[in-house]
Amino acid sequence: MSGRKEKKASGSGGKKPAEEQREQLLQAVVLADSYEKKIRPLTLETPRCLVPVANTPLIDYTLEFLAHNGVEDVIIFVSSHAEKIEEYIRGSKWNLPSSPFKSCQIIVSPSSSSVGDAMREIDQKQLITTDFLLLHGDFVGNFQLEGVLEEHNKRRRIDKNAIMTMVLREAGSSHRTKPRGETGVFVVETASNRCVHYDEIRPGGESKIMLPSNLTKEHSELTVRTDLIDCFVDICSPDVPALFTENFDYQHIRRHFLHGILTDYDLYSKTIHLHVISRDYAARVRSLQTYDAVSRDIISRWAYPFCPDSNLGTDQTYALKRGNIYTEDGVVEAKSSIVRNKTVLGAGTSIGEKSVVCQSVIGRKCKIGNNAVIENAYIWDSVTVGNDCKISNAIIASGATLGKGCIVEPGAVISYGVNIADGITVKGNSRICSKRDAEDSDEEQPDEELVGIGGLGHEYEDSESEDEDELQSALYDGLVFGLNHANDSDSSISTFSIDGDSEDEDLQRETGRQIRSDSVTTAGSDDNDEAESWHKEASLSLFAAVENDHPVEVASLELNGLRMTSDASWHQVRRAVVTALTNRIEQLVSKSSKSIPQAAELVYTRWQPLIKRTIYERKDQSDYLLLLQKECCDRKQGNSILLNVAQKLFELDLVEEEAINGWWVDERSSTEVGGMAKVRKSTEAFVKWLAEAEEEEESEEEGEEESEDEGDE
Amino acid sequence: MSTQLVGIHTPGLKWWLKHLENDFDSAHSVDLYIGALKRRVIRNPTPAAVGTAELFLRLISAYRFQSIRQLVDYVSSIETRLSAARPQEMSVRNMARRVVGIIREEAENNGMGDLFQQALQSKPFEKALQHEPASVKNKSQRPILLTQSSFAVGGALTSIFEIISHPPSSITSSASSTPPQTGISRPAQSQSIQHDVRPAIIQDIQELIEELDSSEHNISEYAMQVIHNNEIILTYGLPSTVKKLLFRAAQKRDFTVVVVEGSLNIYRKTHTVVMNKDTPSGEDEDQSEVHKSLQERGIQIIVISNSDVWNFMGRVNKVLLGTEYVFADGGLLAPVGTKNIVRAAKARGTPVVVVTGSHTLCPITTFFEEQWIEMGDPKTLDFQEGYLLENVDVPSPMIDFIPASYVGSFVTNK
Repeated sequence: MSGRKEKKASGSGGKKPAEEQREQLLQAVVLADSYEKKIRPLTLETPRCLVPVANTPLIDYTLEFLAHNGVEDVIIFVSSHAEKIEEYIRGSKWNLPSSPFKSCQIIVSPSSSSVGDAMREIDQKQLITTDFLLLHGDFVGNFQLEGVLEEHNKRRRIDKNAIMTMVLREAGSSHRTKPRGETGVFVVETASNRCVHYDEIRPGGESKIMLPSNLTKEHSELTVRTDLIDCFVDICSPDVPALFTENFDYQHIRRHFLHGILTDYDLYSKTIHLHVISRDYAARVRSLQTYDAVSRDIISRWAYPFCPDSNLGTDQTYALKRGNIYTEDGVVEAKSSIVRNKTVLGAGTSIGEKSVVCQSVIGRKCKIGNNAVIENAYIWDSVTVGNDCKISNAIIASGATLGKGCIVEPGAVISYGVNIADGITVKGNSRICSKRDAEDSDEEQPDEELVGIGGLGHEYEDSESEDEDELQSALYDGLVFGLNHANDSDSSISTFSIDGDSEDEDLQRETGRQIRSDSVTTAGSDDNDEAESWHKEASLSLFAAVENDHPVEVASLELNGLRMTSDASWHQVRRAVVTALTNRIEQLVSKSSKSIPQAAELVYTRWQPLIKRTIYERKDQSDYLLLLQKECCDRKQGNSILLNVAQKLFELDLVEEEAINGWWVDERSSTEVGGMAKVRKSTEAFVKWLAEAEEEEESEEEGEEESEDEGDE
Repeated sequence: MSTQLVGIHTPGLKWWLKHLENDFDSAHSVDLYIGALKRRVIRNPTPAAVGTAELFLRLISAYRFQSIRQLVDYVSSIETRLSAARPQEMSVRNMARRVVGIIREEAENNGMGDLFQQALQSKPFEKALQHEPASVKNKSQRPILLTQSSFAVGGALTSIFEIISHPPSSITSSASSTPPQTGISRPAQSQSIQHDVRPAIIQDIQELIEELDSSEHNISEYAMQVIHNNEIILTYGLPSTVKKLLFRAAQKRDFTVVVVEGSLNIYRKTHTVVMNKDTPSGEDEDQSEVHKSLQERGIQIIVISNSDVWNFMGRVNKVLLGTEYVFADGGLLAPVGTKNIVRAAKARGTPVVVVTGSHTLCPITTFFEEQWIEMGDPKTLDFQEGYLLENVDVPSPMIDFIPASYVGSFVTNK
């Protein structure tokens, strides 16, 4: 066999010639891009898969895992930072003829912006024709695939529709390696390990999930599991990319794909199974928090044999000392310096007199000055730390410099090339980077307040993600999860600025909770991009249904489906209904030349069941009215529509008097802002009439006693 | 396209041998082997020894050399790289030593012994063999441990020193650091050297591999001398060398075996071996015979937990142990948990017999045994114990160092 190694590393995906004689071996697709931004600003300059964990780039752990399991055909799928990853892989041992992989293709797809896009591309290029292993370039693990695949094949032989096996690690209720930001809830049929429902719980969001009622009818025994580390290692059949193509809106493999396929079991009749491992190690570096945890796990040898002293990198020379201290050749430790346990020191690093290093990872060629204290910190290559610095629970990326006497507080992230001047205190949880996003490069001045005079760097601002979810998860995914937040993990936490001081935080958290419990968030969520796009989509699809006179049932199902896929609140659903119905009324008025009362009557009588399904409590009714009022604000005949619809709602018993009154006295309704007060003027008469009618009723019932009061009115 | 199922095989020695068979390449295979050693794809003394010997066999057949010195240099440079990948797997180095020994033998047979000596002296070979600076330099004072005991007769009665000293004794005695000389090779003779020596070397390495394959079988020849009727034998786990020996003994003797189930690393294996459910490794020729369980041979097996060792020790006549490596002074690197047993045996005065192949005998001693002890994953702690995990450190050695004083005698092949 001479031409044994075929190395393809081109943008266009080539097909592997079918090997007839040999047994087909499992192929692996490594998604080098995470399509997330949780490790920003570090990932502004380096892709996540090249971020060093215990001084070895993450993707090496992933590829070692594949090699350890005998995978010989690897496809690396790259989107952002494509050149860097390609360059790294080409220069690494994986591209040498001595690589354990027979084929290692790199597929560059700069246009992909989600796992869904990647899968669609894979489907389109027909890269995969057999079952394959899908995993991310930030996976660390040491379990044996052989058994997992065996079980997968056993299921496949019986049922062709068992399209996917997800590998998850058991981890108990609270575990450092479990992402704090979100918890996947897997509902599993106990006997067969089949996953029948999937949902996610986020801290600060609802701490419960709704199970479809038919689940309990169809399955005799279900287990609900939240104790799993989801490392996103899946054995997929070629149906999986095909299903992604079919459903072009699927982005996330769990939130959308898994949820969707399970919810629409009737449509696809595909089954997805779980494989829970309870012995070996499996985790993903998905956030700063898991970066910290996985680093510790590796240092504590959970991922054995993938430990620093295995010297996986070709030029590494780590040796293990007692207390899990790994030092490479050529580390200079001053005689009076102290290196405590669980520490990794790279070659060429020097530690000054009387400095203390514990539970930290220090890269190569770092200079640690005298009297420095470094605890739980991750310091990458070529970092200079001045004398008397104190660093705890922080990440300092390559090439950064800290002056003398700096203090880095817990949770700080200092990105590439940042220069902190002498005597500066870097606040906890701050994220400093030296490079700006390309879009707003007009400001090149370093933030002197932050990094001191002569320093380089500025606070990292996430320009794209203002939405509440991401900010919130950023808080939970951070390196340090402060003590004052720890008790709140079950309750809601609303948006608050990360660098605000703690009093403000408490205050805002308090109000956040109230808003949530009211379930009438208006101001808070309206400027929310995601909610806005959902609203647009929902109201348009509903309007189409109304226009074409679909059965109520169908429209309602459709709406519900939309709600489930993106976790929209009922408030948002009501808003969509209001918009769609109001549009319809306007349309009827203008096109079929009906009067507004007629149109309102027609539309609301017809779609009454739909509205009923969105309203559960009295305050929901008030919410509906408020939304209606808002909707009417910017319409030509808004005031008239509002009046007629309100009347209709009352007639159809969709809203009660109390709800109307509640709405009327709500200050959000009577405010002048945005013409709210103006639009409801014509409705005033109706409300008054209502109030009077009510009192009449009361007086009739209660008899003479009330007559005096009536007179006063 | 439709639903063709795919397979995957966790690589191991079989994978490696298949690679050598089909895809051998003298440059890349060494790197691949280094990767496999680092990844622990090939681990434990016997697979590592077989893998290394097979690799050297292929390398030497493919290597063009003009002088003995060139060949010795080549072998030692490969050896340096391999043992740097995983210094703890000493059988890799042992095999390299054996190969150098073979080269010497053949060189002497061809009247080129002086060339070989020069080759060694010009090369800092000493350094390559002795990774550990603290190890003893003067081998003449090496403590000699005899496999002398009441029952050991005949072939088993060789000193451990004799076995180890066989290939490298002359090497280690010459610790000179002469700078490399270039005038040794004799171009005129070059072709003939390769022609004269190579076939013989290859043949010898093949014999070495055969010896490795048959080492367990050869050891089991001593069964009758080690095990007597009505004895109660205690063993830690049930390593295959010990199992073969017991099996052989069961043909004529009637005895009882007490198996200690062992540490978390091995207890599953112990259970499957005791229940005879381990899949046949495919390398055994006499599978049908061996695969019959000990129980079927009428041997009673008692499995006890680690904590019961001290209770049982009083009733035990003999402790039979497998080991990973044996140092020149008779010290052992054995699976973790063995130390408990030898201590109990010592306290009770029970003889300890170590059964191991000659490829595990290492011609070095150590004063700093910690460097040979591989640390594994912290199995004793459940990964699910999230809270504990953050607050405790669990060192989990996979190997115990056992000083020579605990061991009574060795049974080995050759």
